[in-house]
Amino acid sequence: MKKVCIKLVLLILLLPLLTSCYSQTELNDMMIATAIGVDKSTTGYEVTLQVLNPSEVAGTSGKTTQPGISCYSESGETFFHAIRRLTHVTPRKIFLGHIRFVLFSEGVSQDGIIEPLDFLMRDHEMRSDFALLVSKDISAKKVLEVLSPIEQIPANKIINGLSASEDFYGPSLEVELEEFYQHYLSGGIEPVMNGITVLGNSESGKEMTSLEQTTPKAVLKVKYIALFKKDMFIGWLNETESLGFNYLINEIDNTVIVVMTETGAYTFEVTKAETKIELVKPPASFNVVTTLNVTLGEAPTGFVKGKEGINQLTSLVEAKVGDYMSSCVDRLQEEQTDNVGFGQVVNRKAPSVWKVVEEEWETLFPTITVDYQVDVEMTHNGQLSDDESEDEG
Amino acid sequence: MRKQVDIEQTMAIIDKIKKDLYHREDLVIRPITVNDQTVYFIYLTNTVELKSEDLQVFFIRLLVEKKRAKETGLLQACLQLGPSEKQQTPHDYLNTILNHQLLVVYDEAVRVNIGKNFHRAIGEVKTQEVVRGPREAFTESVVVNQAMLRERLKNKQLMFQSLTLGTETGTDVKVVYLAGVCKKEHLDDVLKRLKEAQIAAVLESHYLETLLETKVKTVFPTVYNTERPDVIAAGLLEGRIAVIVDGTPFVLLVPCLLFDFIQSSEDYYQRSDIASAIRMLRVLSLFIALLTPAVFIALTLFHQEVIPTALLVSLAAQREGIPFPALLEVLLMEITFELLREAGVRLPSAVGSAVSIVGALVLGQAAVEAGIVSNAMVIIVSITAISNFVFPSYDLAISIRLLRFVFILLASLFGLVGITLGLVLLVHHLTTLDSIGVSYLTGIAPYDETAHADLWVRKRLDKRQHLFTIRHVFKRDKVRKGV
Amino acid sequence: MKLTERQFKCLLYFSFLGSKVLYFPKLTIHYLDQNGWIGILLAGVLASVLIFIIPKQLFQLSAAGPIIRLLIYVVVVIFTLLLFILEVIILSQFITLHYLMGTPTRVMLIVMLVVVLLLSRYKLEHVGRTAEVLQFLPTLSVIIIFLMAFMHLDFQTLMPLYLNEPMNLIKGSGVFFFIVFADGFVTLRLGEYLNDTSRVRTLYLQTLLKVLLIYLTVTVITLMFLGAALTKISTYPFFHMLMNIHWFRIIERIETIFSLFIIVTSVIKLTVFLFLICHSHGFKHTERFQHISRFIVLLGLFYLSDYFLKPPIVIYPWLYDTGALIFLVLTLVLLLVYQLARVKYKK
Repeated sequence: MKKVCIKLVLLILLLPLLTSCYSQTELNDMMIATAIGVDKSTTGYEVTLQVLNPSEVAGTSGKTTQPGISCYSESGETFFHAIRRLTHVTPRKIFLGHIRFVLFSEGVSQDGIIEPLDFLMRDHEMRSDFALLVSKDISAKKVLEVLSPIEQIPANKIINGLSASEDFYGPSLEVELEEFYQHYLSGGIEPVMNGITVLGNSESGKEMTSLEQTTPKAVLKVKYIALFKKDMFIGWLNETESLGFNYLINEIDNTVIVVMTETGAYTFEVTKAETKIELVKPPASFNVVTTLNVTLGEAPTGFVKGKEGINQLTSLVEAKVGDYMSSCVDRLQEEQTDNVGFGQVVNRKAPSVWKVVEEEWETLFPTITVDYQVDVEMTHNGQLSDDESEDEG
Repeated sequence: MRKQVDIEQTMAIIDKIKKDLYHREDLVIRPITVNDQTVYFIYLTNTVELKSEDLQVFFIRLLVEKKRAKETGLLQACLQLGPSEKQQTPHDYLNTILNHQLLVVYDEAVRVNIGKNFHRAIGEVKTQEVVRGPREAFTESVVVNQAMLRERLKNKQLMFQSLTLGTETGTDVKVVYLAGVCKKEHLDDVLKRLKEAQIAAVLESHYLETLLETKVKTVFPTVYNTERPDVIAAGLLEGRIAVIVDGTPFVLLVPCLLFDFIQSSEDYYQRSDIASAIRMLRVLSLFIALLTPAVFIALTLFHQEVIPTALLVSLAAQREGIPFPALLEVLLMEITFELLREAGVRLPSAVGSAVSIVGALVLGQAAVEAGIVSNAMVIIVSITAISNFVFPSYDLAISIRLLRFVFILLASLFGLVGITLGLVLLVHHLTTLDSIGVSYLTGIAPYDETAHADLWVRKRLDKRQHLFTIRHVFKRDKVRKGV
Repeated sequence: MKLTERQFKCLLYFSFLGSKVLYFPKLTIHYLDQNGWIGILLAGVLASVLIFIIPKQLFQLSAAGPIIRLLIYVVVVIFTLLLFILEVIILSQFITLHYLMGTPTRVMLIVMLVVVLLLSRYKLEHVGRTAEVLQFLPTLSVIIIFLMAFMHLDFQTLMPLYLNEPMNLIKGSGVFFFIVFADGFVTLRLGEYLNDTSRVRTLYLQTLLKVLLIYLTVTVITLMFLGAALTKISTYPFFHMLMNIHWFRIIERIETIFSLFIIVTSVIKLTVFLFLICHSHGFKHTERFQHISRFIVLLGLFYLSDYFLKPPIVIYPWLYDTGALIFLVLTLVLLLVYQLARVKYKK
């Protein structure tokens, strides 16, 4: 009898558990969002969600001619408010766990994006490994609405395109939330993001008919790096500056460099690039050491003349890379923002000096002097005429 | 001449038997008189065949012995018929007759073991088949089984202890062990449990299994059973104790560990690397069979972020239009499968194929096409089912099947957290189990180096110190010879 | 029944770890900034020294008089109660925050306590065996995490900062030595369950070094991934760090799977603590009485934990500042009482 009593008490204690199916959601009760766009609205933010239409993307039966994604927009006083107000228009619960990127319009980012970022950091449903992007010359909403051929999910197209551009050309940089936030919080370095834009008519890019042509009416294009100061957008780098930026922060994996000579343009493929920023004299004198491994990719005459010829070419490459980097630093000094992280170098190498200059780094940064030392090693001059060049030398 | 007392004694025995078995119409009391000497042959119809030439020899011998006035005269005469022994008590008389043997009464009673054997011949193994290894299986006869063990272990230390259990059935039970190898306390424990039990009937070895099991309530088997003589022989060599029960080919083996149920005798008949890989596979299949549906439920209901995006989209697309919640879907499919499996086992083999056709249709395409269950769910249930068939032991497979439902329930309540907590509780439960005093997880907890060496992988036979290292745990001290 | 040495080590191991792994990197940042990992090493040295200062007889108190035993029991119980409540609150909060959003924390609290009750149904020996079976979980998880993280590691962030202020470092490692190893001092009483106490110190030291290695790895990886600033502001830096580890796009979010080991360690730690609260007085009781006492204690613990469980829980500042002080004082008192016991024992 006693045992029965104890078991009963335990059962009663366990009862509240049975009501605890609080947090479960069936897969067909939710919408998987792949991207968030943030625009300015009159009241605060206008948030656009790109959600997936699973049966169009992955279904085997019941495929219609509907696009693989749909977009929903709603405005709200704050970012979170707008997200929640979206439930007015969405047919199901929104699931943010699979977001690929968050896109800010220029307008929003000029005013500071810390408020949306804070929500993104706090929200536990979201992973923090999605990319942050800025839309150039176009609203975030319009970018998200554009359909893409081959890759049915435009968000995937953007991220894959971005990393391809980063890996094989170089002027783009995929910045994830974690990294942005880290740079935002720590002193001596300012965050950056990558830009994105739409080529063509974004209005007709929304329609399925756009995809029924060999050249879609609107194409998503990965742009270059957007500079931020704290959480505020302050300007764009152009292609050369972006390349220089990536050289400086050691993010170049593989890229090409074109140098002009009297005989014509030589193209080199960079297979390895390593950059170290050295502090020469705290706090304002730096030396940037870059070592490059290049191979000859394209030559106008078909072969290169001897060792001298190679040396001549490599020195041209060295000058070019140095130019890339100096143009970037010049631009940053102009904007008075240290996105490369020279301040952090001071912090690491000379902590005591950094403590003194930390407060006034913003004014000190434009005055720093940077020397560039580029060492290029030609590891290979391509498959053609290897012997010839050796013999003639 | 024969004394009056002797004749009275003979009649007393006959009367006694008649009184005890008066209602049995199959009782045969056959008096044969030669030279005024009446000898009674008592048996049940069709159990004993008495040939006239045998009887002639019997009587000649009896008369010869009579003249010599030897006391053991009857026994000597009976030995002409077959193996014989003297019987003293009325209980023994009854036992002889009921055991299908012949009782010869003349002044005294002698049991002659010439009863016919009604058991089938030694057949092939049905439950634990192997690709390589001996094929013969135990039979229903305890005598045959005993002989099969003797054949494998030509060892003077091989001991059989006979018991008669079941107050109503009087079943022959033999406790087998290798003296000097098995632990005395284990043997005493087994004998004590068997002897003290007040059990009415023993129709199958499971009746005794309940006596030997752990006292903790559990779904896990803590007594090993097999119809493979080689497995039992290996067990005896490791110092375990086997219990043979008359009337069933399944012989019990104690103590046994959890890992015995996922190891197969074939592990030792194969190259060690292959055997080890297969053993790993079985461990994997244990977790797959136990957790797959539960993890699927947990991930799709609670932790969608864990699933790769492409897979999630595909799963979501499959679930479009499915009317039931995922939990119900899983239960529906699992129960359907269990029904099919059970039907397949019980049905005669001619009808069995019909069930599998219906099952393939129901479980397979039809349910998916009707939009009742999703494709993924069919795959999950199939994987689970296949993994469940990987275990060499049927007993563990049943336990896992039951526990699977518990885990599905836990997953539907608390997702991965529920599964994790369930696993912790499961491990704790396993640590509390024992098989006649030996901890169920010996080797891991409490850790034992020699046992651990042969747990996950099977070492090469020549690289091991002991023949069966894992089982070395059992033989720590020696049993006195002849216990 | 007694614990084997291995089981003893496993129980210690789990008691040291618990849910602390989750927020440990944050603690290091709080006191030592980027030098946290040096602080851990220093704290480890401190702890090892302390183990050899503690009188050996402590582990076998049955010879001591009832008053001493009672005194030690009281200190241990206060200590353990505090840690138990802290642990169970953090655990249930962590689960409702990251695994089961929407489930009330109180429900999770009940679930945890029910699990602990079920685990404590038999003897401590069975808990020891469970720990023995599951001991590979934390170690394996941390090793896998380390291997996964290895290709992303940036050792520059580990450069010691402010080494010109060694006092700060010593102070910091001193404080967090108490925070980290407080649980260990409670579990000293587990020595009672050992057959042979002669090797207790060695066992203790072995476990300590293992734990130190785990903490070091976790802290280093977290610091490298999140940087000091982000580690400081995130609630559970370990979990946060896991979010950023990818592995060939196969395992998308390992944090959900790899932090499950924390639940396992925590639950076992709680069970050990429950045994300590109920049975470390060293008086013999019937098994039935023990069951009932554990049940009642758990019920009480539920109400206590529930009382402290007021959202939003800002537990960390309290833990860092006041908590550390309490631990410090309690540890000193414990040592003193232990010393008293020793004197008594000698007589």
